[in-house]
Amino acid sequence: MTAPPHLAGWVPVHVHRRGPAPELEWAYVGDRRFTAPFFEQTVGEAVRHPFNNLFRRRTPLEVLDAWAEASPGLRPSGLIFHMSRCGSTLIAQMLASLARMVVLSEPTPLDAVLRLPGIDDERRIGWLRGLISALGQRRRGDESHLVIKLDAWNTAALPLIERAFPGVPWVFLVREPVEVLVSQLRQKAAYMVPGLLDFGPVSPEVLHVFASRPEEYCARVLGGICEAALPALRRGDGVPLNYRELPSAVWGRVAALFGLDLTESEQESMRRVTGFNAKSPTEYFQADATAKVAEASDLARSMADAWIRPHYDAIEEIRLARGGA
Amino acid sequence: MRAMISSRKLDLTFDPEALRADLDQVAPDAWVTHFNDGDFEGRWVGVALRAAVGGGNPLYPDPSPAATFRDTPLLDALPAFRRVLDTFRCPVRSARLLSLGPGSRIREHRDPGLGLEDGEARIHVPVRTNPDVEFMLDNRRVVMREGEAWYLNLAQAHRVANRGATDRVHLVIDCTVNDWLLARFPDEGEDERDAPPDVPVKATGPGALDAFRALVLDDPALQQRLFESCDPEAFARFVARTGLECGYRFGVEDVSRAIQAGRRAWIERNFP
Repeated sequence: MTAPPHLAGWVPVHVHRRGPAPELEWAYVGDRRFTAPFFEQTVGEAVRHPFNNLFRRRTPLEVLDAWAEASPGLRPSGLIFHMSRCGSTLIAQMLASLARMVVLSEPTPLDAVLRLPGIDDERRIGWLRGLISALGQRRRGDESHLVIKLDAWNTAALPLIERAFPGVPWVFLVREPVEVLVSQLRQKAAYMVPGLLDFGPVSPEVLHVFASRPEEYCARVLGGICEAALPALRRGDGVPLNYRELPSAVWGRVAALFGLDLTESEQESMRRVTGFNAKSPTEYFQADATAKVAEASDLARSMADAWIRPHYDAIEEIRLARGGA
Repeated sequence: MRAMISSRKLDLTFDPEALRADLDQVAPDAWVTHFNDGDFEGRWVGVALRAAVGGGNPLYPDPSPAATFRDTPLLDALPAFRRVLDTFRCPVRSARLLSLGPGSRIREHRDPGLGLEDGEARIHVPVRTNPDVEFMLDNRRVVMREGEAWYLNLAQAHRVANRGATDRVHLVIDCTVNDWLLARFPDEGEDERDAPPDVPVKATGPGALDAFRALVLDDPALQQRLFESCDPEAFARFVARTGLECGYRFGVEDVSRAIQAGRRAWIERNFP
């Protein structure tokens, strides 16, 4: 295997799908930490640096293997799956407040590799591992743990991800369905709009439901995400977590599950983060559950009950049986 | 008309021991964190010796022409610093002690309006420093020693890293330019920094930039060095100068064009 190019300080930021084979675009970040709420924002910052406009680096995905061998990154300590709008970004921000944590919050190249068409499982798993190794490099030297927060729809790929990272603990975060649905209806995520992201062809029926009853469409999507987590949770694989248990569960059960061994001052650092709105760190975090529930229309409520609640209840049953509060 | 001055050591010197003795008189809890919290990592704190009248952050060196400044009560207890300020026979606006902690750094940025050409001059008098402080102005290192007085054209891109084990403390004095201040600038011969390096040229023209890029992509040390400059204009000049030092001759415009092309390619990455 040929020696990889000098990639210290470089991270993969984009998967190019045009052309005969997918390629990886890298950006130089040096020893800068990932502290933005979403990895996409970190990428935005990196590609605005004139260095990355001038010194562009594009490689086949196979380079990930050589790089992982030459310079293995941190093995993941934990994965965070979630149904969206349920505090996952808050958890990621709390963890990212500690200098020794490498936190990948919905890393776009990971999602791209998960959804690359026409790739067999073994190849995909190889690339996932290589990618995480590249993103989880100890670029500063004092990093001790790596945690990855997945996109909500990546829950569908849970079985594959478990095969790629066997034994890595994970949590699945849920929240009262009406609250999540209202949040999505207020401000739909890109994946809630059929055809906006590349998830394959969209049927006219789907478009019709979305246009005429977005409450039903969104509820079905959210229900599908919860449903996707159930088989693994029933097997006893991951740990269900409820938004209501935040923030204390983060320095409690989650930290214990991920093997973080937090010091007093690290817990204090995480507590400070909870005073701010995780997605827009300049706004104070406000518990807005009551407002969301009150805002829900009858249709939204009934759609949440029909499509999300059965799976949510099943997850809650598992959670409470395991000692959740 | 003299060429634009980037930095110049003025013909003023102050007793470093007296300055340090005064520095030790400043109570630890008098220092406040600098208001530009996005720009630095680590510890960057200051204390006002002369501040804008009318409330507001005492460390804010109000640039508005109407602003007036007054000595702070702290200055009464610091005779050596008072003597320094009294030495300046030009209008003195703000005067601050700014301290950059060990292992801390200030990211590359510009302070517009702070050049002789604007009628303003920010003078730095190092009070405590160490050999591992790296101050870069337009990607050239300026070494300033305790007791010296330096004019720095901070409208140019600049950054500081304190890689030493002790605080780097400067007395920073904002002055309005007058003849007395201009007379403090000793004449300097042809700026040696701009002489072309004595390196054999391996390539010129369009291929030279490409060859230099390939070199950089294989050289982590070069990558680290170039990455520290994020100001687009300063960066482009830095790349051209570094390229020349490595034997590749290409123009700043070639670099700027390549940067634009790279930016466009990124924006168009998802286009079919």
